[in-house]
Amino acid sequence: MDKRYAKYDASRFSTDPFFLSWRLLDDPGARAFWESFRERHPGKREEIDAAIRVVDSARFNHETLPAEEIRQEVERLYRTVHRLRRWRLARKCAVAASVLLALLLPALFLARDAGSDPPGDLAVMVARARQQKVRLELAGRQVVELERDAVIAYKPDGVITTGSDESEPLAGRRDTIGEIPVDRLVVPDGRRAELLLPDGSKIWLNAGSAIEFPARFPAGSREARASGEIYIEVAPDATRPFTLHAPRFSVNATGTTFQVTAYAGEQEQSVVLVEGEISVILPGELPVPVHPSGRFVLDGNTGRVERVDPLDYTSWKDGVLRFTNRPLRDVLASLSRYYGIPVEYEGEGEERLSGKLILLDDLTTVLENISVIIPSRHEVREEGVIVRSGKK
Amino acid sequence: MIPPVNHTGDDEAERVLLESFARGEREAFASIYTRHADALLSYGAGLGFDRETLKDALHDIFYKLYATPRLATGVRDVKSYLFRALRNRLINGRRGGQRETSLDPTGREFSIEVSIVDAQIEEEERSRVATEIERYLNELTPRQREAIYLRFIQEFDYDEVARLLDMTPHAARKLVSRAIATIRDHYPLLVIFFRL
Repeated sequence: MDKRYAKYDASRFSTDPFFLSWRLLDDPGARAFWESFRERHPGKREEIDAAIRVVDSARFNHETLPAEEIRQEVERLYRTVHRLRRWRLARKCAVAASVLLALLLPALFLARDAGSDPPGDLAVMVARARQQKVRLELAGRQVVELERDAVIAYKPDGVITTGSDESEPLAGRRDTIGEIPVDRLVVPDGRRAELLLPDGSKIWLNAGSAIEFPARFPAGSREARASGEIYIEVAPDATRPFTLHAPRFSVNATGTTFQVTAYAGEQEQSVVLVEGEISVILPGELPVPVHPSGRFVLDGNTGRVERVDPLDYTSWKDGVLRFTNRPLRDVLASLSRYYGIPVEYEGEGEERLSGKLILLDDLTTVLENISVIIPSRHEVREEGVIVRSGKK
Repeated sequence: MIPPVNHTGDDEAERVLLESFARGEREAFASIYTRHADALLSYGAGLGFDRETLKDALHDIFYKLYATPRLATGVRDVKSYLFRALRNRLINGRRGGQRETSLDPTGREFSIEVSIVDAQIEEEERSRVATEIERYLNELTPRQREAIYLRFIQEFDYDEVARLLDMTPHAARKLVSRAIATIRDHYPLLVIFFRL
């Protein structure tokens, strides 16, 4: 055998059946022979290695779907799925999102064609962030972790339900007399939740928020404590004013709709009033009244009230981010929280954005849409996304 | 405030992607599709189907995966699941007869077309080597060829090969070792070596 193969060159090795049994089928007999042959004939190594390279480059029923065809197929699948999803849930926000999606589509395709597609890792990151669980901590009893979009309802009779399935109460009935337990709902980055309080008030919690509230409100007052971003529709009840305590101020309300933005570690904390009346209370100061479309901002230690379009601040709850003349840095911070992925910003910090971003499941597309509005590039790293502005 | 992103094995990443996919998330579709489309098209081509038919079949199996959430959450190995789904979809499509006859271009014979992509050698040499490797693989029966393809080219383990070919793992192992023996028998020189 050795004598025969001693005359072979790369070309003949690469078509020799015994050689192929080694490279293609990993035949143990063939492997033993060739490994020892290569060892014993140093002069043949170059030829053998060249043949290995050729055979290992063989492709079997080689098919490659070009990026453009993949995109078309994914679109097609998405359309089919979307039809099913809409039919399944018939949810208002799903319809709204798809209408807006249609408006954005041309820009989306432009952006896709122009930039190179970042690796799929971003999808994995978003998916992982979404696996973080919304936690409902029932005072002294249990901690419940909630999947998907959490919708939690406290009924006046002490029953708690989660999700759309009202037939399955969460914790059984709680006593409606005696000491009132204080519960807590914690929403991690990348997730959102809705909470219905026993008085009928409805609360939307954005990513990275928490609220502490009594399982039932006593006579005379309704009080809750919150941080992060909370949109609240307070059920009218003139006998029991509603007080929401943010870390650095409180909001007094009766029947109103407002939003508090008070993330720990952020310079600016604010309240936006959508409708009704509220007053903001700072320790040791007179209450500051805020009227509809007013935004109270606490910047450092100074407060001011400005006129805004409330939708610019509250649209996240419908899956849209709308803003007028907002610094890019702030927009990216919102996105980072919303998707639960670190988004770092490198740039002069002067860019401001006006417009509407649909908070698609797909963060890549959202970032590409931003880069259509202002020149910016994004780079997906292991630890997060870096967005650089400017024309570099 | 921002949780660290953990990077663990590829399998875990795939499972996470599949779960998001089952929730209808677009980026997850794109990612799973991109990861597996080429391998699935290659396998389908071996089964004798043209590209457009295969694209339709892929659309159907991904759609089924979405429309049946318990499927998506129950899948452990994404690639092996997709291969089985594709095979069933193609073969049942034939058997059921509800599909047009265009789905049945050849008998059920697994074929392998070889191409050499090493750019350091000339085109003529590339096609000569490819032809020789095809000849080599054609010594096998179609079923042996399919088993070899799944085991050594798609790198499935014997349990997965067995599920795809609807046999026991033991039988799959035997099929592959018989394939290797078949090759030996066709090349007398190899027999000489093995008798040494």
